[in-house]
Amino acid sequence: MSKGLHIVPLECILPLLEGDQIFGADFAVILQSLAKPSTIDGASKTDINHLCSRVNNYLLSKKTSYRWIGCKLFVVINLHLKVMMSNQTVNLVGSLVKILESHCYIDDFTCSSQQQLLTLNSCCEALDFIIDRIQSKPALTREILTPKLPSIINGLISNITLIPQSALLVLRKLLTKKSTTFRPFGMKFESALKTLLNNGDNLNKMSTPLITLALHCLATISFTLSREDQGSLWRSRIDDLLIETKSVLSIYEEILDTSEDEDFESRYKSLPRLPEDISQLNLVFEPLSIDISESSLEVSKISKRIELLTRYITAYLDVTTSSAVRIPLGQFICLAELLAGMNLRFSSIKRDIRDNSTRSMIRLSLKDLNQIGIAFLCTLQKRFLFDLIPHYYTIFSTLDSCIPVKTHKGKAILDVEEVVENSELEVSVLTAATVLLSMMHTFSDSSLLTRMIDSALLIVEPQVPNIDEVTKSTPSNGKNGKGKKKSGNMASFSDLIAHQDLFTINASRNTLVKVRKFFTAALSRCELPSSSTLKILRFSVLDAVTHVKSLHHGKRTPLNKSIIKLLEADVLYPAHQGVGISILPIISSLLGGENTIMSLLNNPRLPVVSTVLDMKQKLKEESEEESDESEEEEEEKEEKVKVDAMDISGDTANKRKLNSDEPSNVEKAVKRIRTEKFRRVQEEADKAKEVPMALPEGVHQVEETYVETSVTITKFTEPAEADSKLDNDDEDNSDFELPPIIAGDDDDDDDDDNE
Amino acid sequence: MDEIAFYCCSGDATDKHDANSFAYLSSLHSSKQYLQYRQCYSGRNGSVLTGIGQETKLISACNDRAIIQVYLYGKESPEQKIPIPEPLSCLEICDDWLLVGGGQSGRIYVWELDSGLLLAVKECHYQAVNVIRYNKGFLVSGGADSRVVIWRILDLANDSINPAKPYSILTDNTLPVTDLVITNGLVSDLKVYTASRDCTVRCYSIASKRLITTFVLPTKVESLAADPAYRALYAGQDDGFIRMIPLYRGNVKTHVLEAVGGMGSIVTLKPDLDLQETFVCHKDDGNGQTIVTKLQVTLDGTYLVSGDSKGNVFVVDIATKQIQRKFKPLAGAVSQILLAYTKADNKQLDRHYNDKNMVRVIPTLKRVVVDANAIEKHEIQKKLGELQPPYFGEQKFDMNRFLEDVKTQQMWFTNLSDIDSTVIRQGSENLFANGKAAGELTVLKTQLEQKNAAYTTLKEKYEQLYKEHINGL
Repeated sequence: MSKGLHIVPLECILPLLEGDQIFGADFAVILQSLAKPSTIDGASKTDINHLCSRVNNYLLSKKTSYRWIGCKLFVVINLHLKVMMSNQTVNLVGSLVKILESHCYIDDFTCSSQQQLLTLNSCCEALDFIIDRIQSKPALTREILTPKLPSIINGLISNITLIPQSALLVLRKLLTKKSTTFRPFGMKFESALKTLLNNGDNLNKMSTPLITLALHCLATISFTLSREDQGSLWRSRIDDLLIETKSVLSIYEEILDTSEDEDFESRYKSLPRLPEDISQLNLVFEPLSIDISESSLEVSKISKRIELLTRYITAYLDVTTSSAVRIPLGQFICLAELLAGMNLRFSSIKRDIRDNSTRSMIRLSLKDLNQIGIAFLCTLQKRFLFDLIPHYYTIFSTLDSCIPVKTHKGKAILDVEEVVENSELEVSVLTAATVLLSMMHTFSDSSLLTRMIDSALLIVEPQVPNIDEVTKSTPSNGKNGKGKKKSGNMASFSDLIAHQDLFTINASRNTLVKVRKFFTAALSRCELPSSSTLKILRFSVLDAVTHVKSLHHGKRTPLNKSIIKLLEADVLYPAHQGVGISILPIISSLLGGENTIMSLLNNPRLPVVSTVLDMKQKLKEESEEESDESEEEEEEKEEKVKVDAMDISGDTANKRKLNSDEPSNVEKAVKRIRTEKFRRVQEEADKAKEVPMALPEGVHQVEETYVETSVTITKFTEPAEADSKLDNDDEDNSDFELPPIIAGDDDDDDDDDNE
Repeated sequence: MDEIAFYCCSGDATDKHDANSFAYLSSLHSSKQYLQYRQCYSGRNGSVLTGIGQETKLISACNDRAIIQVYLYGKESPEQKIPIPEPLSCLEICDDWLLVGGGQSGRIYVWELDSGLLLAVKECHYQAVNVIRYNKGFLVSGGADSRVVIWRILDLANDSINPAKPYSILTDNTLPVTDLVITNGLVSDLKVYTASRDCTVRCYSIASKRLITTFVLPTKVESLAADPAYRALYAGQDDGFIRMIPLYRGNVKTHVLEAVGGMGSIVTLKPDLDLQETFVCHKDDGNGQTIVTKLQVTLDGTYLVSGDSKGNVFVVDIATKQIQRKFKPLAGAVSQILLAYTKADNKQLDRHYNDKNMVRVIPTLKRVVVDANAIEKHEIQKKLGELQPPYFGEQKFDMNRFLEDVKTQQMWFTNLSDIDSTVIRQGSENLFANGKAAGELTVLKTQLEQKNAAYTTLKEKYEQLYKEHINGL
């Protein structure tokens, strides 16, 4: 980038810094040369003054391009303390302020040139730079910054409509750090910000960071400049905002039967009470005026205003307060749940609203509200993390209620069409769920995740256009044009029929990343049912195969990070029950030799502590299978041998569950065979270690002594695990067992198989 | 880098005003003493730190008194004294979010630190709770009733909505449980080591709720610490010895490194007469029996910080078993040792640095358990934004980025085409060449012409009349 640039001495630069002569040289080279300490350190005071006055000339010029050049030169020369501490800096800052005050000679604010705007932006950046450099240095601040600060603030406020982003960034900084000087400009700044936002009408006309910045400034100014207790002022503003939001929400009571929804009612009551006299409301924005009989589009104003208000509340949570404030977290969560949970399933549209367009607008508006509610919930999660945990289950239930379901044969099943239609909302739900899951290390209620997993799998499925639907919507107006239109349409539909794959729409990269993150969190935090785990495993393997080129043998890059993390979660958190086939070989093949976790799993470095499997449950299941299917004896034996092989290797003991039922005869027989088998293998292993050992039936406990004695003595007692385990887990209904993943046991397994 | 040890005592019974009960924050590797806390005394495991540095707090449950004292970093005297339902014997802090106290009645109390709400009170043990440990969402308590109870913290935090039940109760010990260690790692790999006066150290897998190994020691175990990489355990005994329990050992026959224990085995450690795996720094000096009450292992696993019932705190080198440092002795039995690490020149640790806006107290801890309705009105007290850090200098200017911006902007000031589009204006005619001004000019010209014509006509008429008048005369 700048490596090829040569450094030019100051003597050569000075003659160039006059009028159009600067265009005779490469501007980047001049800037870089001036930024070098060697260029300025050796220069005489005369040269420095010369340089500063040349820069000042550019800044004071009436030509836009010269002023822009001046701004850039100002930044680089002030990198040097020699220049910054000179008397010239005050003049230079004054010249910058003049550019702001003159609005860079923009006469028509609605039609300003790009050059003028760039110059104003550069001027703001230069001021921002010098303020950063000077502040926290008391003498410099006193001499240079403080005298110019009022004119800087005034100039910036007057330019908010022209260069909102740059001006607001500097103003926000000054607002928090120079609040005393800022105080006289508070009202002016507030009204400028409100004009910029225009009661939320400009919400869709500005970029998200700019709106956030404007709201942040508006929130800060509302309590920072006051001489009252800031903490109580912050709280009263928040209460006002919650009341204002509630008043807007009350409009929905006019169009929906909210009385049918108990949750809505209770949450609505949890918000601060509306004053009896509406005129007592301290509204931040002007009251809404909605007439749905005039236009159905008016309905969208409600959700738009609520979005503005929730974003304004978020801005209040982002500000820096000087002391601790009382945050009504419960009410925030209530509001988020209220918005996310509003649904026509629970509160239908009032019957007196018959206009179809109005009804569909209300439906859309509710979907917007859901999205706003979940976005608000996400912001709360980011800011308060653990403080949300007392509300953990209610939040999860709200998220679950956002997934569309329909009733089929008396059962609530996923509404596939609705899920696909509102995939953006579903992605937001999954994102919020991922953050929630990541908060805790364990989550026991897997039932809340089942529907989310199913909807996640739906939204990442490629969408193939429905040919019937497309052909149905073909218009057939009049007899004359019918034949022609049909043939024309048929021609265009031929592609759809012949090359349907060309019309397939795949999930966006962002959606895929969010779904993968959700699956990773679900696998690592929750004991999922085996069916859900299998679905995730299937997705992760297919996804990895689809993106095999970006896997880079398991080496993490920003592009494949989420894929690899999911694959790693697959092997680190295997299914707790019912998955008989290990996914380890597949993942090892996919991630290859570059992945550190796979390397460690495949080549364990430390000897692992021996563990033992409890096979009671396993055997019970098998006996049930046998009695149900009345299999042949030989097959039974084969099964038992299989079980034995798994028993000995014993890696997944912690995944199995104890069962206190009495063992059946078949079980006893199997147990006897298993024990004999186990004993034989143990004997072989002991022989290899040259330690005499003999295991009685069903015993796994070993006593060892050492320190003084060099010979290990072994003796056997009853299994300890049965005593120590007090709380049994759920029954294992699985048909499969995870194959063991244990170092050094491969040989044993092979031997058993051979036998 | 520096390692800091916090240590405090259980107080002196003869000192009624606790004037001699101090706690200290000292460097492990230098003679620097960061801070001392006055009148700080707690039961064993009864003090916790929310961190080290500005705005952090020390929370200490007074021994045998139903009071919690809160100290602000940098201040010697307690900032707050909060009354609580009963005297607490131990405390634990969970992710700087929950404060969990174990009562002498066997109850555990769960407070939210940001709101002071008492989220749960559970009848957990039949006798006093001796120790509580938290890691990875699991809260493990060990009591004088010899039981170990494991809870999911999520269940405890939501107790007001769904009453929490223990995740598991371990009842293998026969005498009081004195200390606990929870290992790190993935949730499915978590283990808890329990130390008990029944001369055992037991290892349980939390995921499977099973006993993995039982280590039988020659004497009662009073304290327990683990190597950061879990290569060994260190058990403080009631005879003043600290016994090392290796978790990996070379097989003397096969010369293969093997993990010790597993499969529910019992590993008996016989008296170490050669003192190969025993630390003797606290050994009885003839003035009565010494008990090793607290143990901690440093960040690098090379030093052991140990405290005893006589108030001595030593830093011992694990390899040589030599005492490296002896800390200022305390007035009573050492009740807590906590370790932290920081940069040696961390200005946040400067006790004279004082931000007048810092949050000095924690919300008052409630004495009534919160109900579901109160949770809806959940209010937390928090300082929003970030603490204003002390000035550490500014970041270097990113010249490359600046130049890149300049280049991007310069495009708007540069004519990139080969056409010179400069407009040369000649005279004032072109001034109104276009637009509205041109239209106005045309109108004015027309009006002027009309007026000229009218004037000429009028003049001609006047002259004609004048001539006629002259001729008439």
